[in-house]
Amino acid sequence: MSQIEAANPLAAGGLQFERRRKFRRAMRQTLLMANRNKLGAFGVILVIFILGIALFAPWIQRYDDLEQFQTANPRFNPTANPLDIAQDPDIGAPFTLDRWENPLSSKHWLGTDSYGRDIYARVISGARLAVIIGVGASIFAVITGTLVGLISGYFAGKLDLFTQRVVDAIQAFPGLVLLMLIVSVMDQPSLFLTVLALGFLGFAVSVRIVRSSVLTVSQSAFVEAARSYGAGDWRIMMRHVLPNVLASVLIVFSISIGAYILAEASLSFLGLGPADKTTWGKMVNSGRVALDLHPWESVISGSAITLAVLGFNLAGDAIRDELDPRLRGR
Amino acid sequence: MTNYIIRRLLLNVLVLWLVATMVFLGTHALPSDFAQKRIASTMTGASQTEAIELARKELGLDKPLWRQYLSFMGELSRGDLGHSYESKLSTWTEVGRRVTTTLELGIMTLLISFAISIPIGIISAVKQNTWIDYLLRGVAILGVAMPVFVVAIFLSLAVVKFDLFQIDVLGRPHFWTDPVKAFQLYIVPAIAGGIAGGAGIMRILRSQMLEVMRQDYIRTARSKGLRDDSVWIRHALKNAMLPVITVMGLTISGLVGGQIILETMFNIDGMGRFLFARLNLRDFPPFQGTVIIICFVLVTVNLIVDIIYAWLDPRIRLT
Amino acid sequence: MDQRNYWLRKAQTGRVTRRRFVGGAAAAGVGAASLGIVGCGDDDDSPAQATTAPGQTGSPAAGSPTAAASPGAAVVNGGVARSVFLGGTQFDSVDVHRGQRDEIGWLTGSVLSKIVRFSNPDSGDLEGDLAEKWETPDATVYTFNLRKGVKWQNTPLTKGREFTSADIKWHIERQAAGLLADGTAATFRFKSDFAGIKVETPDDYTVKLTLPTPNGSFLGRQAAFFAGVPNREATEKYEGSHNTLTEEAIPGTSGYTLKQFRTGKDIILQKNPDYWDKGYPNLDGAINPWGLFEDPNAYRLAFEQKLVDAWSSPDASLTKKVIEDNKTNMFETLTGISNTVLMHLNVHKQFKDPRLVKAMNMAVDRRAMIQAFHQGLGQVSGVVPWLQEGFAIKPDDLIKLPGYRTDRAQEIKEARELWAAGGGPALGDVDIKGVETWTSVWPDTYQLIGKMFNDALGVNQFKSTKATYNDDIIPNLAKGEYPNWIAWTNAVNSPDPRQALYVTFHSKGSQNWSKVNNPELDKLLDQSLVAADLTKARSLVLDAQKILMDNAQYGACVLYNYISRSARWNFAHSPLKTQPQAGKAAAGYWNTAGAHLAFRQSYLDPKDPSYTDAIKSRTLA
Repeated sequence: MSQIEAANPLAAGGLQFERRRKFRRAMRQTLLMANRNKLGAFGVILVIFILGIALFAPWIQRYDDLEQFQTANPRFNPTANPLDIAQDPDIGAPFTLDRWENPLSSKHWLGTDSYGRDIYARVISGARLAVIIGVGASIFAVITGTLVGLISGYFAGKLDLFTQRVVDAIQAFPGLVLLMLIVSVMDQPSLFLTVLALGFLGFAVSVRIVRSSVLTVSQSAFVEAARSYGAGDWRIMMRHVLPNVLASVLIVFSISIGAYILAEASLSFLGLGPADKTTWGKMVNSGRVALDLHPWESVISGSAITLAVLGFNLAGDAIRDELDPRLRGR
Repeated sequence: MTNYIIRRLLLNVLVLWLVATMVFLGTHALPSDFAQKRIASTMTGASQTEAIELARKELGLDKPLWRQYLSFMGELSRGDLGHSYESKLSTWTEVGRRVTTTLELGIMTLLISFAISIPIGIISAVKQNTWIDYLLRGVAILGVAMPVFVVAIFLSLAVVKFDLFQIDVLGRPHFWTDPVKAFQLYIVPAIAGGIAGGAGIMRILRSQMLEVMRQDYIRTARSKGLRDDSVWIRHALKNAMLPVITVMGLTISGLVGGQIILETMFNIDGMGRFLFARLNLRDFPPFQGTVIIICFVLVTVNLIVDIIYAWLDPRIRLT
Repeated sequence: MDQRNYWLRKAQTGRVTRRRFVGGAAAAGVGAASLGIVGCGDDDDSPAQATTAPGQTGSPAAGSPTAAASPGAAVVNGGVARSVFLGGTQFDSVDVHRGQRDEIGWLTGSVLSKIVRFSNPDSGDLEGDLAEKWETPDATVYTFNLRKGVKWQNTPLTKGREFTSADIKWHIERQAAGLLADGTAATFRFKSDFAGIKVETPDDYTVKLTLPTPNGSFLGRQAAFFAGVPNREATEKYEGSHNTLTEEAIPGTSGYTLKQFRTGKDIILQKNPDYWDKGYPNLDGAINPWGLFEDPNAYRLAFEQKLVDAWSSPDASLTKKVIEDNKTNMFETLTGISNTVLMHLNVHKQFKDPRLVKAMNMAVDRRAMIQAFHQGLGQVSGVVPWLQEGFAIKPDDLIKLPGYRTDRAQEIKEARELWAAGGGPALGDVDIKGVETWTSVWPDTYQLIGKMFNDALGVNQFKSTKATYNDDIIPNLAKGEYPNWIAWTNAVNSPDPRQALYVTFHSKGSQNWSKVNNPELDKLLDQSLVAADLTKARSLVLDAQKILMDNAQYGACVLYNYISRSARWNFAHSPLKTQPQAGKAAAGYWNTAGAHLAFRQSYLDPKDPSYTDAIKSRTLA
């Protein structure tokens, strides 16, 4: 379709008109889609919201996520006897940390955590981490998965059989166990390693879905035609097969971002998440010690995870439904 | 059918071999030196570099990778999964002690997830696109999106606060020794895990129900004048459950992850907590061994599920 | 403060015999004692010989720690206590001579007897344990008359034989030699304590020790954490596998025997029927559940449901809240933690330049750490912690020293200058490890520590990652290849710091990981040990500390000591320094120095309203 339009020798004004018309059509389609799939539209809005936060985090997070707020302590007695400190801990400190402040104050919109750090700042900076982890892992999974799925599906035969068993083997591991295995054998948990491990987990799913699309496309007439005029395998894969499986690729990409964000929470729970970064999973975990007294940290970060996962899942479902209704419910 | 089973069996053997290979690669080829450090820590007198060199020898890590691989596979084929550095017990003994506990919690979680998901899945499909459908789906999506430990903490604190019953995190009750205590210990983690697992099942069940309902035989049944609920239960549900069975394997695999967290939180001495504790102590042989055992079990479960499925639905065997 | 010091007062009132002088000097520091003194002034004025006549059961003798939450309650025998009394459940060694981790110190504290023990850990009074009597004419020769009828726990290895002077001879000579039975050298904690000691055993019940030089600190050291006398047959048999937990490796002579290690479940102590001190311990046994620290949720659930008797949250304010919510059934105890929080820099690798060590000593924000991790419940410590108050640098002087000043801006300014001068920025990445037992309690440590140093030094080269005691630190201490780390150390294990200072900083010290070799310091430490006069000893220790503080403690920078707040159910009585009263918390003894008291004198009160049938039905099986 795009070739036809590009070939259309329209005047500049006409082109502009054409563009406007296209835009309006796209808008109309989007609205129709949103109307058809209200949950999906809600998900997309959530995703845009989260991406926006992640993108503008440094400008909107107000404080540094590690800054420990403190109040100078006029009663500070540097030589206080430990005995007296035991009964009245405040006298031993030049300052007291603003711990566990309640939300909805003008200084700390969402309160503070056990170390006197601003929860709002941490949730916002955590959004960036969540997006990096979710999208990063997804990109890794999709790129490697598409490449392998493409080759495996296109060449079929023994190679395909073997690849499929590798995929089976990866999927034979319970997700968290595989993550533990990968993260544990490396020296220290880090952001990069977390993304890599999650991406590896997603790799198997990507291969599976991309490959099954490739199998269908490879049988189609235009691939046969391309073969018949002597095009090389690489060229056929890239020029003919790949564009036709992009829908599947997009589905794979969007559908598991939520799961990665959730998996990071589990890893952080086990102390295997990126140690030097503020992630939502870590926040939920560090707030849970005093959950009944100071629920805010866990509840807010937990809700952030829930919302993000919800958004990415719903948006992913919607994209899948639009692009490939057959996969509905899978 | 026999051919199908044989083919599947052979494929599964291949998969298991690959699983073991991956565990091997993960623990031998990657730049990990924990096992060496671990052994080296027992050596006094030598410098750290020397001690690690000795430890490498002791572990056979100085040999070429392929030799290590062969001996790893050799031990595995003899069923030798190594011994714990800590307790010196074999992995089999350690796992054997804990397998029943894990099964108790696992089965209970699975039952709860079915108890939650099946009715909700049916209702949501029957009342498609009504407010109740949206509500239930919303709840299900939330269930998937909520970290399992958040649910567990709130539930357990509620139990303590309202003094409902005692969660015996120190005893090791079993259903056959003390059913009441066992139930009280497992119920909270089982609900937490069941919500997460059930939400997934519910989504699949709902979409399968919807698909089945579009089929001709349902329309036929309805046109025969059968009452709605009878159509749902006798025709739609029965057929919609088939794909649900196939995702059982996936559900169970998902449960294992939850088990690790829940067993740790409630001090339940099952395989999940064992796995995590071994990892923390860098006690690698039982960790690897347990991972391999879990994967073997899951692969086998999937195989059985597939065979049952093929037996129920002969079309599968052809593909 | 001096006026309150038990030992000084005793010395002034002239009520001190020669023998008791040496014994008392060993234990001069008041330490966490100060926790209980105010409002309870004559607590440490009572007779110090807290002996219980054999055969006498019931309430402990006057002056010994009263074990009741409500005064006057009768001690009850029987019952099984359950609490996390071993700290954790990871052991680096079952050989108490070689173990570095606290767990083995705790465990042997209840299973093994010492030559002498503290009757009052905070004032430092000693009483006989394996030794019934001792004489020391000049602090060089120590003659111990051993108690008769002390039997080893009956195992296939010991066959229940009697404890004799040969056991003590082996105990001392093995550590002095620092060799295993097969002749290989190993790391022995007290090696330098026993260097050059001549051990004579005129008969089975007499041990005569001749020290190369007089040592006023010697006796107190025999009562310290880790000073239990292990069984020779078992220790030698399990030398090769000393890092494997087995019950057989630790047969005991004390109030409890180690019934079972049940990996993953619990560690069970059982009352020793053959214990010489008849009537003790009060309990039939004690259970330490395995790994409750693995998850704070499980620990709290267990406590709130009375599955364990005591509990302490990583967040002290939460402990407080739970106690307030259950005021009628629980009480609060505050205990000086003898585990000193330490920043250990490897002076053999990255921190070779002393200026860098000094910069780090100022960059580390001790008071901020007390706030962040302990909610203010702590006080900065110099090289001799405030727990050993008699010897520690006075607070007024301490806060004038680098690293302890209240003017943080000044500290940062000087730290940055030294960091730049010492070539700090060229070090590249600096990793100050968080030890995993610490970070599992406070997982945010990694971020907090990295930021603390980066902010203070105005750089971006610090990070903090995970390390473990067993794999990364303990095996590499003697090798000088340990990482930089922040966590606990158990340096304070007796109220008298002299021997510990010697071991850590003397060029011949057996735990001198920084390989300090300062002749002037050596001389002061030698003299301080010899000094029979307490005031003299104190001033020598202060001089030694001056050198140590000037050198930023040679990289083994003591940060602070904190106070642990824990909650106990009312039915669970443990020996306390002061009882809870008028809204004030109870004060516990130093945890390490007073460990044996808790094991001996704890009891459960079935009449207390918080007691339940479930507690009654606890068994050791």
